[in-house]
Amino acid sequence: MAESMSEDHVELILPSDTPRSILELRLATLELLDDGVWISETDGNVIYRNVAAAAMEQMYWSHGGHVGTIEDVVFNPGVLQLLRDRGRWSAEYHLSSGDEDGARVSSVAMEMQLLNAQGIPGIAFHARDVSREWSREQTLQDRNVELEQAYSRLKETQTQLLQSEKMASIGQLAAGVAHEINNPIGYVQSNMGTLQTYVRGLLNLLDSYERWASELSDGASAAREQIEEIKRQIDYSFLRDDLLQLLEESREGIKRVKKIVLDLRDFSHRGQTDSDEWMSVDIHRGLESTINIVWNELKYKAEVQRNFGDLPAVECMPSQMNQVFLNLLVNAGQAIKERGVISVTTTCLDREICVAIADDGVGIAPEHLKRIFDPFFTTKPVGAGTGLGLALSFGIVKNHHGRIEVESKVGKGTCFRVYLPLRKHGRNNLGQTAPGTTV
Amino acid sequence: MPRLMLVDDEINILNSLRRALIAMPAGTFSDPLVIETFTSPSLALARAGESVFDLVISDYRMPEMDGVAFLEKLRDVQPNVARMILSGYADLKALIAAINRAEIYRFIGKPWDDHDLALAINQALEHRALVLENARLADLVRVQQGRLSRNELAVKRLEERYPGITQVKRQPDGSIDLEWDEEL
Repeated sequence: MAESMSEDHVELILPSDTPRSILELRLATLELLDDGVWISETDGNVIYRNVAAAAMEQMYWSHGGHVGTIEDVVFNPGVLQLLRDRGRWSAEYHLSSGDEDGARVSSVAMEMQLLNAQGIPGIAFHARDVSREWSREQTLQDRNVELEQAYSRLKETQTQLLQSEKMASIGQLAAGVAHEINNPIGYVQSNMGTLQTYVRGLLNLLDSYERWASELSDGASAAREQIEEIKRQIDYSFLRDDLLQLLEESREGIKRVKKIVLDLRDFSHRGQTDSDEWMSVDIHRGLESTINIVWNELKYKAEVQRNFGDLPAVECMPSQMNQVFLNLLVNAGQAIKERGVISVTTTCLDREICVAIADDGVGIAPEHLKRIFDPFFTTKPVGAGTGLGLALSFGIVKNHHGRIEVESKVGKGTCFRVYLPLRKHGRNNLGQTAPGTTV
Repeated sequence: MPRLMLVDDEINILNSLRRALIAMPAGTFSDPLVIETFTSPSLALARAGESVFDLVISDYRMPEMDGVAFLEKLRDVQPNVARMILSGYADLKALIAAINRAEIYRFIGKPWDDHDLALAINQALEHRALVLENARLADLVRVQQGRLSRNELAVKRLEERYPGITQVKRQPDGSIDLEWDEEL
C-alpha cells in the first residue's frame, strides 16, 4: 500500500550479507543522537524509540497532560491518514514545558515519513528540539519589526525634509511676489479710500442739485424732464445705493489680498528672523488663550473638550506656537458642518509633549492627505482659506524641531498631533544654556 | 505751508499718495501741504538743490539708487529735512540701513493706511519745526552773547532757505561755478 502512495517514502536497502554488527552499530548510533527517533508499524504502533525520544515523550507529551500522549498527538489516525496521502508529514509544536509557571516555551520540529526496509513497511518519526533556533528567530523577527519601524520613521523624516525643501523654495518666491504685490495693492487701497471720499462729495453735490432742481420754475420743465430721463436710463436710485456698497466690497477684497500677502510674508520670513523670543512657557495657557480667540467662530457648532495632562514648561516661541494652535482649531471648526466636538488633548512623553487637536467633522480625503501641508493647497471655498495655514504651521513646528502628524477618516474626523521637544534644540547661544540640559 | 517731496519709481503710488493727502478731511494738517512728486531720485536731488523741503517720503527699492542712498545724499544737501521710507519690501538689512545711515523718522510698510500716514506726516513736521525752532533760539542766544555775528546768522538763515547758496564755488578767474552736481 505504502509503495503505491508516494515516491517520497524511503527505501532502506541493506545488502543481505550485512554483518549483524553493522546493524547493531546503526542502532547504537541512533541512541547517541540528541534528536528523538521513533519507528512504528504502519498502524502507528511504536516499535522503537531512542533515548532522546523517550526523554522527549516524558517531557512534552506524556507528562503533565498538556497535550496528551505521543500516540494521541502524533501517531493518531488523522496524522497517519495525512502521511499515507502525502508520504510525509511535518509540523512544529510550541509547548510550554512541564514547569508549573509555564514560562519557558519549547519548540519541537517534527517530521514523519513512510519507510520501506526490504519489503517491510513502517513509519519513521523524527523530532528535534528547536527552542534555541526558534528564540533566535523570534529575536530576528523583533529586530525586523524594529528595522521596519526605523525605516518608516526615516521615510517620514524624508517626506518632512522634502516638504521643508519645497517650503524653502516657495518661501523665497513668496518674498519676491509679496513685494511686487504690495506696490499695486498699496495704491489701489489708498485710491479706494480717496474714491470713497470723492464719491461722498459728489453725492453731496448731487443732493444739492436735486433740491434745487425740484424748485425749478415751471418754465424749465423741459430741463426737468431731461434730468428724469437720464435718471431712468442709469437707474439712478439703484446706482446711488449700490455705489457705496460696491466701494465697500472692493475694499473688503483688497483687505483679503493684503491678508494673503501678509501670510505669505510671514511664511517666507519664518526661520530667517529670530524676532520671536524663545521662552519657557505653560502650553496650557497658550491653548486657553487661543481657544478664547477662536471661541466666536467655534461656539455655534462645536463643544471644546479639554483633556489636559500634566505638562512641564516647554521652551518655544509662544506667539508662533499659538498661531499653530489657532490654525488647527480654526480648521477643526471648519471641518464640522453642523455640530460636533473638538477635543484638545495634551500629553507629556519622554522628552517631548504632544498636543492633539481632534474634530469629528468631515475628515480629509486620502488623496488630499499628502498635500495638506503644501502651500496654497486648500479645499475650502474660494475666499475662505489661503492654503497657507497648515504650511505655515508645518514651518513653525519644524523650526521648533518638532513634528506634526495627522490622522483622518472621511466622515469620522481628523486629528492633528503636534509634538514639541521640551527644550530648544541644539542650544548653543551664550547665556541661554540652562545647566543640566541634555539635548 | 509745509513742502512735501514724494519719491517712488511707480507713478501710480505717487498719484494715489498725492490724492489721499489732498483729500484728507480739513484740519488733518494745520496748513495745506505743497506736494512735489518724483519718479527719479536723481531728479529729486536736483530739485532739492533749488528748493527747501520739510519732509521727504521715499520708496526703498528704486532702479537708480535705493531709498537709503537717496536719503543720505539728500541729507547732505538739506540736513534738516525730515525723512521717511515707504516700502513694500521690509527686510531687516534695509531697515537697519534706513535707521542707521539715512536716519529716517519713520519706516512705513506698503500697503499703507492713509490715516496712519497722515498722522506720521504731522508728527514728522512737528518734530522738524521743533528742531529748527530750537536751533534758531540757540543762534539768537549766541548772537546776544556775542558768540555769533549778525552776519553769520544771516548766512545761516540764507542757507536754510536756499540750500547750497553759501557754498558757491568760484573758478580761479572769479566766475561762479554752477556745476556742483557731483557734490550731490
